[in-house]
Amino acid sequence: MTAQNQTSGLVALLGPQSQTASVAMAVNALGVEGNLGVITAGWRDAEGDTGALVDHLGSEVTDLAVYDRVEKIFALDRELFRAHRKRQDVLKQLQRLYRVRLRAGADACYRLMKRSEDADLVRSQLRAAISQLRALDRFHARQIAKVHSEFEDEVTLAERPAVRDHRAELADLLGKLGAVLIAGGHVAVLASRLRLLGMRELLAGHPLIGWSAGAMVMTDRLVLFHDRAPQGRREPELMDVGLARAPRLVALPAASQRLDLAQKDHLALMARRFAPASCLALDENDWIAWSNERLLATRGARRIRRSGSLAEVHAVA
Amino acid sequence: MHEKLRNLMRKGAPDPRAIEKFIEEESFPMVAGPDVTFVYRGEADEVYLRHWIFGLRTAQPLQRLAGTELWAVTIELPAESRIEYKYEVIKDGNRSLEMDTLNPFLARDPFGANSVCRGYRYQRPEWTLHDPKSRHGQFSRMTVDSARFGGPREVDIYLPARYRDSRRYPLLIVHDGHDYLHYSDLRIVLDNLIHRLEIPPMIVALTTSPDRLVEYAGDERHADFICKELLPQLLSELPISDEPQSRALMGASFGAVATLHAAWRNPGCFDRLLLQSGSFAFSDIGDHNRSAAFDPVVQFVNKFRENPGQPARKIYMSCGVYESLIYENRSMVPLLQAHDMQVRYEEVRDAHNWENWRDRLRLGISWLFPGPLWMVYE
Repeated sequence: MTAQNQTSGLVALLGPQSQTASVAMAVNALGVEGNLGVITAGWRDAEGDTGALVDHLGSEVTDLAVYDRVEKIFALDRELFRAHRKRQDVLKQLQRLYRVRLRAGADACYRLMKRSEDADLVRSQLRAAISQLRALDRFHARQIAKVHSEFEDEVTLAERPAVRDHRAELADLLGKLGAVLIAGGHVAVLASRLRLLGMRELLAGHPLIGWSAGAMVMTDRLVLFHDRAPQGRREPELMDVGLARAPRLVALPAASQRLDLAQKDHLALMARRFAPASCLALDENDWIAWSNERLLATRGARRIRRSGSLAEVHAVA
Repeated sequence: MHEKLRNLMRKGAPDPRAIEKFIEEESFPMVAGPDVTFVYRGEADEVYLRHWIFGLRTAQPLQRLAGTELWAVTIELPAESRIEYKYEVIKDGNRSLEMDTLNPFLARDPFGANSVCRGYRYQRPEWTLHDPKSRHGQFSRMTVDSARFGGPREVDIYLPARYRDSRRYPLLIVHDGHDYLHYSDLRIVLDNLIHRLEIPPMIVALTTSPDRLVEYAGDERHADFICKELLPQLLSELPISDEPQSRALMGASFGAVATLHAAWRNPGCFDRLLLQSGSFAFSDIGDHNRSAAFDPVVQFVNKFRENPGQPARKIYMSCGVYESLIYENRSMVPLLQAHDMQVRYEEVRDAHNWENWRDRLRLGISWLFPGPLWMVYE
């Protein structure tokens, strides 16, 4: 592992923290200075329950109360709340429709991967099938962006008093912080609340350290995945765009637990579908950090190759 | 016969120490792929394997191994089978049903316990076992003053770990709730599945009937009790989500009949049903050939089959292929599907018992109420 005391534009993505917490190790190794802020919106109504984190870090953290702020905004501004619910409903419908096409597209790819006809013919058909999946993902991303954009224009989000006040308070708070930690949890809730408060702009340039869902939202594409759900595997789904502080990455927290790593076809398709982004497996204790797009440090993180195997992360840089 | 047992007997009757060593070292029944050898040890005139596999002879005779107190029979059991059994021992003209003292696996039910044979590739699901990491839900009790039954009915309420009055929860009402708790480890299952985010935190109401063969057999009083007395009280006293898709009703055997009947009589009350090994006996013509307890069941199921309506929109059904009810359950699936109900149907190599129903709870409950697993990355 390498580490440098260089925090400008620092972004660190960590795996889950359930068994062994490695946040403090990352904070120290990366030479983060100043007070730490924390976003725990993914914990929903357990937000702010940061006792274990404070114990682990050995220092106080400033809770940015992102979840609670949005709750307060919604309580004050019912029109905005209704518009937000409407947008969420549209997004859910979009996701269901996307899933129909995704399932069929992915199924075609897996069938082609198993064909034994002339290799060149199969390869070109597979390439075309994956290209269709990639086009579907791009289309879905545009649809999502359109829904967000229409919502924000319709409600003139940035100009609404409750939103404006909280954004101003957050800007003030962030000015006093050395870095911001983003905890895991419910990734859709986390992403939605960050978006509503305009955190992409507010966090620009701030050193960020996020784990699990917190790592996912730092990328530009939030991809949901789980191979071991009770109802069986679902094809990984693009769900939203993130803060884009770690672009060209698909963060896969708890990959060893959530993915069936023996299914090379599944992994290979994921790698090819999301390329040139790297699909990054982040397990317990794993982390990876960049500063201004330069790889600073890594521990344990692995990327999925086009073959479906896993490779040490230094190949990502 | 299992190879090891054959080896033991190769040179004739082994001495008692060799038998003792053999018993200590082996596990019983002896499973070698699909061949399962059941072994009884004891003095007897005749020994039979009594099991509850519909389609096989109920009593299979064991053969005495010459010169020993060992008896054995080998049957073929397909992969992933799980069966319950006892030995019927006849000695000096007396018959007794005994559990297999060589087998530590027991399944309990309201009538006692049976020995359990785990066929090859059957494994008890780990989510049915106590997990120290899972937080426990809490129980409270509610009394429903039932006009339909002319007296109070006690209902136990499971509140999930981290329960908060300020939240809204889905509701699951369970027939034979106490039997599910005692014999299907329902509390452990709920705690584990909620902890693993495979189902959302939910409120579970556990009902029990003092006369289930009557009240669960298509009894209008019971349907009204569930939908017009219990449900309104639950909704008024507990933070339950308003919409019907957050409400499910479930049961096994006659409890499944009661579930379907209550939902059928009150469409829109429950959007989701979980039906395990439903006693859905019916007749296409003439009489049914089951006991008199099934008379009202057959009446109801016949009416239901004529006019299913839409008692719910999403239904999970399961049945063991070793049950006599497999035909009735299979018959129900296309009927429900033809009436725009979304059905997930599961068949397993098990019989009419509480551990079969336990092993299906993960798929069933998570099908009706998917948890946030897909969205949560801790």
